[in-house]
Amino acid sequence: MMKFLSKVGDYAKDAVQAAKYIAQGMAVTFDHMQRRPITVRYPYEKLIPSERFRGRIHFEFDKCISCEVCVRVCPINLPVVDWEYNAEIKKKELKSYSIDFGVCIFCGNCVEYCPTNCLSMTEEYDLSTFDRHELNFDNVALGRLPTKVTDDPMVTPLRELAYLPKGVMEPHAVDHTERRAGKLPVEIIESAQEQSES
Amino acid sequence: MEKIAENRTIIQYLPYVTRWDYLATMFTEAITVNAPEKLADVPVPRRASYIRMIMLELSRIASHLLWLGTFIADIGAQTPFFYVFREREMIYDLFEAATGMRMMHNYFRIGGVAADLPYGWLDKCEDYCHYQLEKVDEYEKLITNNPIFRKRVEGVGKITREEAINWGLSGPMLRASGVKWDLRKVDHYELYDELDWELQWATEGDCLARYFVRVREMRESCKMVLQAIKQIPGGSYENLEAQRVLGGPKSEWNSIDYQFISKKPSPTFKVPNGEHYVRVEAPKGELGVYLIGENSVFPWRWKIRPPGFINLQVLPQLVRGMKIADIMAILGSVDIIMGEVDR
Amino acid sequence: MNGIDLQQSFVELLAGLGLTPAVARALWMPLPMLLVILVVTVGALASTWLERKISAAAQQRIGPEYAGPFGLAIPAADVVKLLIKQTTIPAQSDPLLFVIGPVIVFISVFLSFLVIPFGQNLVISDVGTGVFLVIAISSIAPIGLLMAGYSSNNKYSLLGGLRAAAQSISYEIPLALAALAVVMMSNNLSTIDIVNQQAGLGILSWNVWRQPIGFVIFMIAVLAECERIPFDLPEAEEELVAGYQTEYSGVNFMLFYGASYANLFLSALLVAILYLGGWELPFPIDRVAEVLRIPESSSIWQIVAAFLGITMILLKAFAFIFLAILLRWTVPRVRIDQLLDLGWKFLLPIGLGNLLITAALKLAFPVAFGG
Ligand code: SF4
Ligand code: SF4
Repeated sequence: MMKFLSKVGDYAKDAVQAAKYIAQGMAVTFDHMQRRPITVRYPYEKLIPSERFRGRIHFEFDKCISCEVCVRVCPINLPVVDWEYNAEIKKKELKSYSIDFGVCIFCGNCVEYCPTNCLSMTEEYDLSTFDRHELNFDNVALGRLPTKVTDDPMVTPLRELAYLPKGVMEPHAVDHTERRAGKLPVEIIESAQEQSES
Repeated sequence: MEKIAENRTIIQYLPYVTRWDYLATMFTEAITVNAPEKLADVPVPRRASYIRMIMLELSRIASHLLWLGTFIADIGAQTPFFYVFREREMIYDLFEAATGMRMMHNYFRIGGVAADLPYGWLDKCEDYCHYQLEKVDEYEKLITNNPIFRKRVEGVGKITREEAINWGLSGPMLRASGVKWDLRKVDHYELYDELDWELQWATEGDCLARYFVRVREMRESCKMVLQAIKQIPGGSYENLEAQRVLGGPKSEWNSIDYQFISKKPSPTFKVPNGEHYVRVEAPKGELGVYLIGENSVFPWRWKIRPPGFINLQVLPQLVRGMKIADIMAILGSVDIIMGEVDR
Repeated sequence: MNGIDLQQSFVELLAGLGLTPAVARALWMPLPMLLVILVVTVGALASTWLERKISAAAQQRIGPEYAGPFGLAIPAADVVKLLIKQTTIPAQSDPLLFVIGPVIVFISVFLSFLVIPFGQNLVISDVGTGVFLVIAISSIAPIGLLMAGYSSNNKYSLLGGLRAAAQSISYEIPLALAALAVVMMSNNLSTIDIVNQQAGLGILSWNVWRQPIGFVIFMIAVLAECERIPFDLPEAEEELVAGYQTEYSGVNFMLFYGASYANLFLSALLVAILYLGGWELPFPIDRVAEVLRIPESSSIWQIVAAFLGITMILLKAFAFIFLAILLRWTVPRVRIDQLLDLGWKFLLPIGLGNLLITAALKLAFPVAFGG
């Protein structure tokens, strides 16, 4: 009889324990209900792409020297550099340049290795079209600049974590113009000089 | 992927490697640069090594976070999935700020990393680590003691110590079975020895033990990142810049230790003669590359040892005689990425 | 308290217009049925909306936002979408069973609402065996699920259907035992009498206090009957794709989906009726009438009381739904053997014990436990 009772007691204890831990879990989910949603409502709110963001490539026709380094470092040898040797000026003359963004993987190698810095990466990432051939950008299309998220009156720009002020974890909590974490090197120099003066 | 590697220079190949294990991207890059680096004896500056460690550990947290979400979702609770994505998003924001992309970073370079950290980055990274530590406690509160969760994973998918070694398992799978084996401790690569951290392991070898190992590793990784932030030579980028200006062109701040890369690799970097095997401790286990070079721009052989593929092989043995529902729990606890299983 | 007799008033009204009482009565008949179907549908739709909003909030999301105010139009959009979707019947299936399956499930759930009272006289039929009618009807649903699972000719569906049947059958018993304890105290199976027996002292006279164990058993069993996480094994999507619903689309799927939420609504109402005092307010409403010196039989007071009653019962039901939803988004799913273990080895003995204790208490304290 005692054994049976103690078994029942253990059983009851287990049940209470289980109920307690489930309640604990529910307290966590319940607590989340009063927190601010972290969702970015995309077309109405947009994150500002980071400074190093590797979006659609921008190309400056006049700077290019047709060296084809970009082709050689590209994993898929993607950029098409169409040039002709001009005997008069003893230089290569660029006729057209194109990158197919349907194929590009936005790795940034071409930008990194271009000797004249005529390639750069923009913050444009929404490259959807109805026909994939429209993504084959020629040098004119490559020369266009995208609209900035911050300039678009239709959207609320939000900052990514790395650009928020120190201690702020959530973009909705602050305005996007608020100063980001970290000091500028200039400020560090100034404060160091002030210290050495005083 | 291996064949692609044999037709590409290392520079060209680097953007591809993040597709092996697209949830622990930094590790694939790390191994891809480590292999030729070691073969060609390229030095890595201390600062670069620290940056690499921070990135690797963040990547480990991201991978474990996603594992946690999918594992719990596999056994039926959907909510933690959203919580881990919230935190993972932050890691990716940090990655995006430093590397330019969220997942396909292309950040590691032979002899260092592609660029120094942007200003303010270390501050935010520190914020993040403190935040993450808090959140791990929250997950534990939500999950660890839940009786249903316990019932589902305790004693399920048991691997003994011998079995684990015989199957060639690695990473948390191995450590959960009572083997103290972590390449960060074994191989002493990068500068992990300068950080004060502990190897996480358990002895039970079941799904619960693997869960514990991974959750504790998340904590440990957070602490490692915090330490690395404190110890990184030159401190934050803005400080380094300021010191360089103050110190003038001859200052010690310009020495090799404070660079983010020793020498930018040329597009025609040659893989020297020789062969060797290099490995790192990825979140899923031992990620290795067996590289044979023959003094050309392309590697002659590039064999990848993906942890997921080898850990997955133990699955048929584990699920024998189990219920259908257990397959999900076991498969979830193995933590595989099909990208590297069938690379 | 007699409540208002709507039928009587309606018949009198029509009789006043010069119709015979028999015709008036015939005219009256379809009205409450339509009303109940409407109420149930709205209740089920509201539950789907709540499910989305609550799960969103628990996950720090927003949930439906742009369809109507607070996304309230989302359930309607769902219905429209499912209605205009093509209904596919798999080629290798058994078409007759395939179509009948969801209909049976749907009808059996809606039929149970016959005996759910929203107020003293706000019930379609005050059947003498009310509670057991609900339990009996609800055990028809697994037949439909089994049909659906079998006729789909798909291994996941079959597994899901079998799980559904096993689960419903094993949880029917603790459910019935828990209800039996309540019935024992009220000496009556009628849902109305059960509520009336809980009136008097307001919140203190509710059955929760007298039947705490029964309450917990009933809640667990009812969650299992509704096939909701942590007991949603028949449609465990990680294991069985979608269980018996795998092959369904369009209207047929809507019937399943609607039935599952209507079932949740039904269960919530049952919990409210059996344990939370139905339409009773947390304080005795008759006293209020006395204090305010309003004659209890005045029609204004009757309408106010009925209105308050409906609000109360809905509030209680939705409180339970809220709990169920929050639980669903918190806990993982149990395994089938653990589920059956819980049903047979835990709930059943406890349910029996509870019944025994209730009987003993009833004999010992007939005043408190309904002599
Ligand atoms: S690397 Fe730069 S300069 Fe050379 S071809 Fe490409 S875009 Fe032109
Ligand atoms: S971004 Fe990468 S893939 Fe695209 S063109 Fe440049 S090098 Fe090629």
